Amino acid sequence: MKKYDLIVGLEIHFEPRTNSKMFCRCSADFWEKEPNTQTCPVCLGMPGALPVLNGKAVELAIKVGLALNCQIAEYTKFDRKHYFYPDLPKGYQISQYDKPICYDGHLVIGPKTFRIQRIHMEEDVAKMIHENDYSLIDFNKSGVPLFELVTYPEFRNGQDAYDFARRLRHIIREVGVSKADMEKGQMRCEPNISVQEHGRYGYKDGKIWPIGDYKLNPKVEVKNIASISFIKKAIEYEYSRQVDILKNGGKLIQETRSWNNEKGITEHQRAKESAEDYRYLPDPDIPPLRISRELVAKIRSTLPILSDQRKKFYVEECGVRESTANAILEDIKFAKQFLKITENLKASSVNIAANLALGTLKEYINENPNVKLDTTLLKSVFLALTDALNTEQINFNTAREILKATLKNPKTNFEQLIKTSTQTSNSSELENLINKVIAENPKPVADYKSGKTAAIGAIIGKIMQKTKGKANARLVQELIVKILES
Amino acid sequence: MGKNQKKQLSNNCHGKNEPIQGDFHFTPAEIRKIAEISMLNLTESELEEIPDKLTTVVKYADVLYKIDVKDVKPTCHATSIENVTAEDIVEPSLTQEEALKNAKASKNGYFKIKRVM
Repeated sequence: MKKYDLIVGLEIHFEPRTNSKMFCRCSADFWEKEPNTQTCPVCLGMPGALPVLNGKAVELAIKVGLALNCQIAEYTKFDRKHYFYPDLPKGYQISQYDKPICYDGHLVIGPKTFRIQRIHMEEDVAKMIHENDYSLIDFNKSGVPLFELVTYPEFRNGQDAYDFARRLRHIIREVGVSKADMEKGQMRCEPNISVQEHGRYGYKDGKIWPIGDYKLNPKVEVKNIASISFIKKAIEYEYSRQVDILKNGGKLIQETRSWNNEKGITEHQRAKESAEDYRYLPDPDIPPLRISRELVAKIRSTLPILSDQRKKFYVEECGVRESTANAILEDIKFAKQFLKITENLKASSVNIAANLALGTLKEYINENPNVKLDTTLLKSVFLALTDALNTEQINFNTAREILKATLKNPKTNFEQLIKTSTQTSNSSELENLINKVIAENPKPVADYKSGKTAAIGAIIGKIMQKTKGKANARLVQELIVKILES
Repeated sequence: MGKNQKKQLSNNCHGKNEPIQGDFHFTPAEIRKIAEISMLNLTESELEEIPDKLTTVVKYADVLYKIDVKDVKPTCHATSIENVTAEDIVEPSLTQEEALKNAKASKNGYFKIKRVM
């Protein structure tokens, strides 16, 4: 029985956040606008119109390229990609063929490195609606800036492709290049999927290459994947479909298929053009770009520290639990606020701040999504609270209460609250209290003595109740153990 | 030509196109594929005659390869203009009415065409 390997390359499109379109100054914000109200002779493809490149889009392309460890071309140009379809009024799309602006990048996810072949700039096409015997066209989206990222065909399973797309989306959002909302079509993911006989192909210049007289099976491009979570399903479905056809003696064709999520299958859309069919040629309307290294350096200096590096710092230098770090960094806006709030803290305080932020602060933001946080105030609050916690002046519960009070009312005198909430660390005072509680609660005491050490929690709880939460919990636990075991 | 200069030139343009071979001839299968990509429905009789006709046309264009371009520097653009960009500022668009003015048919603000899918 022949064994087939799955081979996947990804083409990912995303719309950069510009105000205007790629080659004209119509608004790029087409979402839910009246049809054909954001067009001009350029994006309608009228004769004689002259497209002019959007400079901001070029900067954003360089920015995302740097974030994805790409080389930035010194010389880059635009080409016409021809195809017949009414979503493209000019009869060609302005794209980049052999001189993309970014190339040779990579993305590291855990132990794996995925290589990025290129990222190029192009324009989006019109939106079409198909009804009965006619089709309707809205050109508002026509000419909206679009970046296309192409990976090497090195994904060997659906999970890796899914992980890559997810991580990529996070990074392009984090650097502010695109909102990458797949439901709004701001990010589209198209896997190119083929199956090849195990051991009968190799890689040459990043491409799949047949060994000996082996003939490569054609690849299938899958479109209409509306959510990142469908990528894995679509790839896995295609693998079984293609292998089934081959095992039954059938032949595969190079085609574009469409993901039907309701049925969980892909459906034939059209025969796929190959590069020659597009009749690429340099676009004489758009002068080429020479990108200075000064510009690249300037853009590099505006890149934020990416969450991967931040996570490393939080976990390795500050002792934050990995799950806590992930939870903070997952939410880009929250991660930014956390970074600002904790920028003055020493590494040893960041861990406490992380726990405080993830519980109380996150909860508050979730309940009050529209409130604007006063990060300057929170900076002093977190500094005071983490200091008081580090010196055991207050306990964690008290810190949470003070933070909550300050969030609710920014005029709260939190410094005063810390002073008055100072926890009881007086051993003899606590010992008296513990003896009293032990006498009043024979059951947990008996439980503890019979080996159920978790019962100590109930005793600590009672002490906290009696001290209104002001007892030093660590000390209380120590003292209870000492008393019960003496 | 110096090494650097060569590199610079190859940096600027597409790879070369090869002249087609003397015995080249379109097959009906190739014509069928070109027709599908071009969204044309060809009749059987058209499918029979088009390979010959199109082959003649393509061979005619091959005359360009006879020109000696040994001393001509390759280029992608006729001018030496570079780095022309516009500021990312939104300017007024056409109104919907203006945009649809030349359309043969429209519906609810959309261009209306014969169904394509």
